[in-house]
Amino acid sequence: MSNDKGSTKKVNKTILEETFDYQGLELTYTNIEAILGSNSDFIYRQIFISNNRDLETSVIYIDGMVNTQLISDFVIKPLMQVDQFDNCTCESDVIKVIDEGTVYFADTKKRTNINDVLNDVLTGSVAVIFNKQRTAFTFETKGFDKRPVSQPAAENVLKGAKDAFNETIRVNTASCRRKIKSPNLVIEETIVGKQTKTPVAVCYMKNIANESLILEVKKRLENMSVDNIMNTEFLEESIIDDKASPFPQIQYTERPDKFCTNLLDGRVGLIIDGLPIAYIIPGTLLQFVQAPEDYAQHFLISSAIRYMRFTALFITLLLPAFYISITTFHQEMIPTELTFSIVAAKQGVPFPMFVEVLLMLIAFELLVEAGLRLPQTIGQTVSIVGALVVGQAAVEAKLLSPATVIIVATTAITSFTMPNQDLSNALRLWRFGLAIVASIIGMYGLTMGLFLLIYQWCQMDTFGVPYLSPFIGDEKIQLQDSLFTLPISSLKKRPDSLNVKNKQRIK
Amino acid sequence: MRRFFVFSIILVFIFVLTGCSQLMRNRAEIDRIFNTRIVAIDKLEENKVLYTISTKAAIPNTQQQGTAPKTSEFLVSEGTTVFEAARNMAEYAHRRPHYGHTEFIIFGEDTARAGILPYLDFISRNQEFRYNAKIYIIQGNSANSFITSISTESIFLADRLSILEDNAFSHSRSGKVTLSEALFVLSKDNVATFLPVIVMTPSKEGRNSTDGAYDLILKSYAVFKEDKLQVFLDDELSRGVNWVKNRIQSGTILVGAPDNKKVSLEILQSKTSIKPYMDESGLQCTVSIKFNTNIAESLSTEDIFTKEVLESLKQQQEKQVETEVKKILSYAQERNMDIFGLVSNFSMKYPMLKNELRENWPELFPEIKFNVEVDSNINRTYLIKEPATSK
Repeated sequence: MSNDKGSTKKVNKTILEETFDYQGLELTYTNIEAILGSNSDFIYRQIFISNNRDLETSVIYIDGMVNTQLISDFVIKPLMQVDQFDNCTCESDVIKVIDEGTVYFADTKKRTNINDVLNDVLTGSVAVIFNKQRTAFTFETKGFDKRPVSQPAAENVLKGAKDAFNETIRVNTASCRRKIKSPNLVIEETIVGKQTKTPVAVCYMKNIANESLILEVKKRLENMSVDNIMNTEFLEESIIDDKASPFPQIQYTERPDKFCTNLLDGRVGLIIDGLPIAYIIPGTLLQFVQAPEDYAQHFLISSAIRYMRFTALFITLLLPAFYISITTFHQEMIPTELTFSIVAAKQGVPFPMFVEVLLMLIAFELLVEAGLRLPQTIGQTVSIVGALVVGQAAVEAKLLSPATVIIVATTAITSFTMPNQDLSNALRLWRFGLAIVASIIGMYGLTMGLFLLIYQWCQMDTFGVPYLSPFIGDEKIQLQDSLFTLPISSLKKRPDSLNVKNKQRIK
Repeated sequence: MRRFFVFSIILVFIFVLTGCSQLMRNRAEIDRIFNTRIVAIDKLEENKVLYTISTKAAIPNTQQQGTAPKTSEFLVSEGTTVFEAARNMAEYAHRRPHYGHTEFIIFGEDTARAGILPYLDFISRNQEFRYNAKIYIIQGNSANSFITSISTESIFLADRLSILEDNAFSHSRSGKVTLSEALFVLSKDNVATFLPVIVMTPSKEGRNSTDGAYDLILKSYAVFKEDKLQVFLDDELSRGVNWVKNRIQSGTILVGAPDNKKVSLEILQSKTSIKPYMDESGLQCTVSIKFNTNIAESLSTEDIFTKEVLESLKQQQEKQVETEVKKILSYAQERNMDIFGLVSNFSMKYPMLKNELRENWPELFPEIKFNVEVDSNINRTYLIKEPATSK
């Protein structure tokens, strides 16, 4: 099952020792049965090698995790039928014969420690235990059911690769190998999670990525103290720098092509077993506004779209606050005719503008949340109820003015253009904050709020890379691929802020 | 985190120690403010001020059957000064006046004759007014009665005024003068201001498709000496002002074809330059005008697109413009009103004599020898050459 023979594997010893406290136990079947025997999916079979009654051995595995066909054909069958075993008289002979490769299974490991055996069995291997010699052989016969590679669900793609990551780490690493056929691609594995023991693969390009970045990522992974990483936040929170900021600092993606492009830029990737997404480290603000689609189109078109997306970022962040401040404090800023339209629309509405906007924003957030929680079959109801109740009825009942509905709808639409949901969520939070400040002291408060936001962005860095790079930073500023994007032929250098080993992307 | 803490303390001080309490008081919901679009100021007896502001009704009031819907609302108050009158409005106003959208500042004729500068002081000092608001003088009426009588018209007054001033280019007999331009000229010695004049007349039958009772006419300038209205110019003199001040955008010139039928020429572009100079005989000034026209209409049945005829048309239009310009120049000199701001042209040419010029300008201006040079061209004649005839 292992597709990445080129990778080196390293198991994080400290975590294993913490979780398995069986170091003192001897490697015998009886001990293993004492640990795992009560489980209904624990399968044990006693066989005699070459039908020799003196050579008793135990075959154990977890049902459902292994491919039983493989076990019968390539493990048990050779043990029973291969001629070399006929001459064996004791267990040490058998171990010697197996060591010589008689059981012709590709991934064979000789274990003398009970912890290793337990770990192998729990990750889908079959173990053949020789009690007297305190030795076991484990064969990786993983064969659990897994979801096939499907299309990305959240990151739609029009023109580009349609494969997405799935929950199996090995499938995901294989997708990367298929895209980068280079010996320089390194996929190192480490185990995270005290209880779950989830494998996490650290991927990078050996000849490009900055050494200290790789070390830092590995260090933070090793120092992580979590029970499990079933959910992404367990990982994200443990390895980001600024834990108080709602803005995303590492980027997630479910698209192997995006993942690999970032590896080639010199970033480090994380693939986690059990999660259909992979992480890219470090994440800067610019990355969250870039979409892979930008590189699939003519540069003029993608520049226009990228610029529009940046504008949308500020519209979705500032529009409600701006609307509140100009309608309650700076009425002279509105074009004269528009003033009268807004006044006409607001006739008979009992709430101040601030309350109106806040009510609409909350209603919008509730709609989004409800749409996410409802089962897909009744998900349609949300939009109907939302459009009718919040949109039309509220306006007709004079609870909200139509102008406010338009403003909040524009805010919502622009927020949907953000390629990254984490960024979108952070903007949602700030949008509320700015709206509240703007309602107290108008444009002055809005400006102050914006200062605070930019201050926060400026002081953030992720893994030593400024959050606002390439817009700020003491190095040469590279703006070829920022607000606008130039033709691919002019993107000659890799991002300077990553301080990569090989800066030249193309000549 | 510590830096964040320090930053927030600074923010708190910024809010507490600056004039933010003022800002908090200015907070008002948009539907509870009176978005003034026209300010009208009249002088009452005993030096009182009648202050009128008007806005467009957000929703036309059609509740009363039989009457035309009201498109505008107005507030009127009195006071010793404009500011006091403006504040007195709060005694009864149904919404708080807000001047951010003021587009027009209107003075009645009597007020204008008594001097407008005292009333502009409040407007130029208040931070809500815009300096690009336009100033108009109402001929033969007070500004207050002008606003109140127009308030029942189906189109809001400010909308009508802005359309009038947008269309003024087609005759170039008047034009807009903004508050900043007016203040700039009023603050100078020896220069006479000119402001556009609105005339309100009862509606002529069949003249307008709106059911309004009054026609508003914008076609001339009123000339001020210092800040007091002196005289209303007629149409021709007003266009003369525009010629000299380089404010002509378009307009018509009527000339005669060889068969004495009229030919209408449309002014396409024009450029006026004023060259002041001085010699032994005194101050002299060359006003040179270059303009292009196009044949817009020909009543003649003959072919006018010959070299000779075109040349004669060109000479006629130059003659006509020269007459217009000479007329306004002599008119201004007779009354000793430097409408054109020539004192600054001379001062800039002869900076060393600036003070002398300024002190003696009332004596110098009537003696200036003007030399008018007109150069024109009929340059766009299109493909239609011969007139439509019934041969």
